[in-house]
Amino acid sequence: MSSANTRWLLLAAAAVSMQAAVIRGVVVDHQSGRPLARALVALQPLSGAGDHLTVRTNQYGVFEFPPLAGGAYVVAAVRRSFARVEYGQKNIKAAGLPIVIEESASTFLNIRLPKFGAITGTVLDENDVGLPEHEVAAYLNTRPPRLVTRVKADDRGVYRLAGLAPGTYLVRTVGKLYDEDSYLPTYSPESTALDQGRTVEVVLDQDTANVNVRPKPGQLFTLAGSIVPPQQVNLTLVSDTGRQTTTAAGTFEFRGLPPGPYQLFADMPQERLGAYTMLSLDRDRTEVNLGLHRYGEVDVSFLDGKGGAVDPSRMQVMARRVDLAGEGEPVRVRSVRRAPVPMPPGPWEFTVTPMPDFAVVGFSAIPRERVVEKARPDAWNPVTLASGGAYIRFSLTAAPAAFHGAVKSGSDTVAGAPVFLETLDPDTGRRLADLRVTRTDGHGQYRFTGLAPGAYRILSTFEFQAPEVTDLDAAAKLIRASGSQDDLQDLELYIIR
Amino acid sequence: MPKWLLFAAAAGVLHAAVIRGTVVEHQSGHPLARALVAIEPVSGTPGKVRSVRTNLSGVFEFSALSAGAYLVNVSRRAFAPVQYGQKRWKAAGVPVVVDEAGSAILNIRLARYGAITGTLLDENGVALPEHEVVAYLNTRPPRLAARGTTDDRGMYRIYGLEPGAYLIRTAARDYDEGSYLPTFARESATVDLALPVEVVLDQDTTDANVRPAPGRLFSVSGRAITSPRAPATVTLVSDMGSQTTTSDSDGRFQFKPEAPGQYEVYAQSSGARGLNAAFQPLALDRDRDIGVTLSPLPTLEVRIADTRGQSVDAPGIQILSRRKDLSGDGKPNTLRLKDGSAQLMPGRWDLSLAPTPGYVVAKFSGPRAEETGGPDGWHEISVAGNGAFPVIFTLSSNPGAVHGIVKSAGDPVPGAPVYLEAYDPDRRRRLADLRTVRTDTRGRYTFAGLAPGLYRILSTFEFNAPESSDLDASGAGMFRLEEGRDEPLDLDLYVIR
Repeated sequence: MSSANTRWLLLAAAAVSMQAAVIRGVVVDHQSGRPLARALVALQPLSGAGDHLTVRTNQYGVFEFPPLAGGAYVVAAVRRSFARVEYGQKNIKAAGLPIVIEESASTFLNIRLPKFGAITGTVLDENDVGLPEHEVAAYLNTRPPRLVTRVKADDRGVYRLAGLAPGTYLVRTVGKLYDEDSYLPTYSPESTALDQGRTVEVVLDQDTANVNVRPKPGQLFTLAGSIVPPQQVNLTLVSDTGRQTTTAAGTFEFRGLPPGPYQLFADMPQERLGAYTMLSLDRDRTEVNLGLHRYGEVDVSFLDGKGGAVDPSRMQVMARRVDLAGEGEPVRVRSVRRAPVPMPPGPWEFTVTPMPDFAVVGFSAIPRERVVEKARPDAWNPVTLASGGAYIRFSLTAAPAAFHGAVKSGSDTVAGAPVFLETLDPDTGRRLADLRVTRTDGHGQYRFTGLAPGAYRILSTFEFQAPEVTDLDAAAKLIRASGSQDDLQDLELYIIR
Repeated sequence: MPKWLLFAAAAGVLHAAVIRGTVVEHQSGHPLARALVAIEPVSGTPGKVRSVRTNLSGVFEFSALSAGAYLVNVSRRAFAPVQYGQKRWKAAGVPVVVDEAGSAILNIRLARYGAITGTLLDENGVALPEHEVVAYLNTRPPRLAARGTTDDRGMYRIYGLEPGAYLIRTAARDYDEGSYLPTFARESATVDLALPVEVVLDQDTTDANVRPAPGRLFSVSGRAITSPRAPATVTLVSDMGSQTTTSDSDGRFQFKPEAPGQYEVYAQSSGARGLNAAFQPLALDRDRDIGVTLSPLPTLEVRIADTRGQSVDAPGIQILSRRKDLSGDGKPNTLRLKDGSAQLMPGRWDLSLAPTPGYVVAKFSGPRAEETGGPDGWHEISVAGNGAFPVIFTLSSNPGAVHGIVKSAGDPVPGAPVYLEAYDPDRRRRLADLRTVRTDTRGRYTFAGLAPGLYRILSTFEFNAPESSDLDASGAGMFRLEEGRDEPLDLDLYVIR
């Protein structure tokens, strides 16, 4: 091993008599130091040093991986209700440092798992009496706020939102209709307006206490109607506070809804029938008709730079629902024998999973979206599906751009360093696609391929596992991909001192 | 003036009686808005049951009342309901007596139900998150009262509990990393070694910690056999509760792994000619894969006859049924008979006949009937398969009665609760549900429609639903009622001093 990169690596203690490398250790509760039995410990080799392995700790919190080849490994441990920890990470948002171990050496790791954070408080009425079983939700303090979790207060009105990653949150009660009264969704401490909501800092291993809420009394509404023709459907009502799904047979009714915009999705997946509508609730609406239609057929095609067809079997098209509550989980759009794919109605986004030898340079859809924010075709592309279906076309280049280089700290190359590549809109500063991540190999080299032309930001650092846009602002390098160039971009490892 | 009555303070200028007052939280003294207050005139006082809700300041008022005696009941979510004048929880309320043009001002304090809290710990004292915990009434067999789930710290809080003695038990749980057997607090597999927990109102009983025993759980899977083939709803019941699943297109079903013990399997499916169903007991001592054959529902043939064997056709007679399974007794429902028959789901049932005033049940016979009480009580039957199951209720048209006056120091007591228990002194058992009436404004009571036999009777404000042991301790008078006799029996009000 070169002495040049030793500062960045956690070296193994040599064990002379071993025939192969051994990584063992113990996992304990960070707060109490108690051993954590049955924790899952995962070992990820860097640059092809072997397979991904997992073991569980024994009753005493001890783990040991089977004999390994010498090389660099990232070790992570996880247990229910504890935050996942990568060995060597500086803090919970940082990336772990790789363990470099020589053949016939062994190392013993001590891994401390912190618990997720929590927010606690009481839901109180106008006389400071606890409101029992009132629902409370935690949102990430983004714009719009993103729902993270929700719980029900107990008989005293006391709630505890647990399992929260460190960050800034807003706490809001859910609209609730009682026999005797009704309450509007209210941000802590007592406001229906987002900008007057109190922000709450959450850190690991701690409860942020006394985040009390006094829900505002107010009128709630009923949304009811019919499924046409009357059928048993899965019905999902979506608002910015989340989604609720129920089974409706011919008719439906949602009671106790606060005023605001809503989306209704009806689905019969076996019969491939669906319905979608968006509405604004400012009064009781009890005659909403949801007309079921056959799923629209989505025809996805690919063209190369010369207008020729590209074999679609090589492409992986992904789609995700986008509704008022946020983005859904991506699902693969699978075409059988190149036939159009039936999909439920409503707003969707489509993308193509990056391939090493292709990049997406164009996107078009019929019907067109009425309003499309500036986006890049290699990112998520919006399409609202109706019963008429859609024609979607991705234009590809078979000569995509690439970036490669070395990550250095001073003059030393850094093995196993995370490198983050962000697709960026330089005008708005918005991230346009999912962040790409790789780690440098044993020689400190990295490579990103299959890139569309455009602006990117790149950063190598152990300070983050999944940096946000604002994290990259501090030190990321703005670079531009064009044509089929494979640009050399050596990077200096970023360290927060 | 009798000292156990709450008399109104006279208010000279009013033309009709008024009952008003305030409802507050017992612990804090904070006013309770929107509490439900109901007044019930004691027999002999004109008027009907009326209810109002307290205003924001916790104040309520009933105006324009007739002079007389009223029972005042107050309830609010998460609080134990109160009857005004109760000496303590489980005592009966004392009527409020108001004169013409008089008024009564009541101050009513509502206590919260009790709760049990504790932590579930693994073998290293580390919390077990999201593990289910069950509270049982400390009876034999224990009766399921409520359940809760531990949070991320392994802490649970089971609330809404009436005062009394409880047992705490964890549910069986199968994690990726290991499984745990149901375990009583503190660490016992058997009920005999379980530690009872006392619950009182307005308090949390803390530190009911449990260390669940690691152990093997068994899988329960099988095939629901229906003709024609149709999905079946299959339920697995134990004394810990139940889990329900739906069979797939091949009739296959699978439950989450369970602890060794006694179970019951219920299945039902809609067929062309109505419901098909099945019931079978299951002893779980290994992984089980069972076949459950569903058949048309068994038919219960109900015959109601007099003591000479002649059919009785008296409108108003109702047959009540309640399902019995390992998790407890279901709610009583009126059986809908058509030509004297009704279909029942297979399994164990309790049957009872609610006679009209001119009749009393003298005898019951039925399939595999187990004598659980007197003839006018509940009778357990067991039905299975596709057959007819005759039951006969024999009625006597010569019921007995008991009547009299309740007095205290020679004065009649209006609104006094009187309890009548059909009793087996040899086995020291209650034979049917306890009967309760309140005396009228002149202190008179009557129980009619009684079967001949031994009874115990007590009038007291000390209880609102006395157990047999309470009647033992109170020295309740015992008498034998002959067929057709109306027994005169004056009672002294029992008071614990």
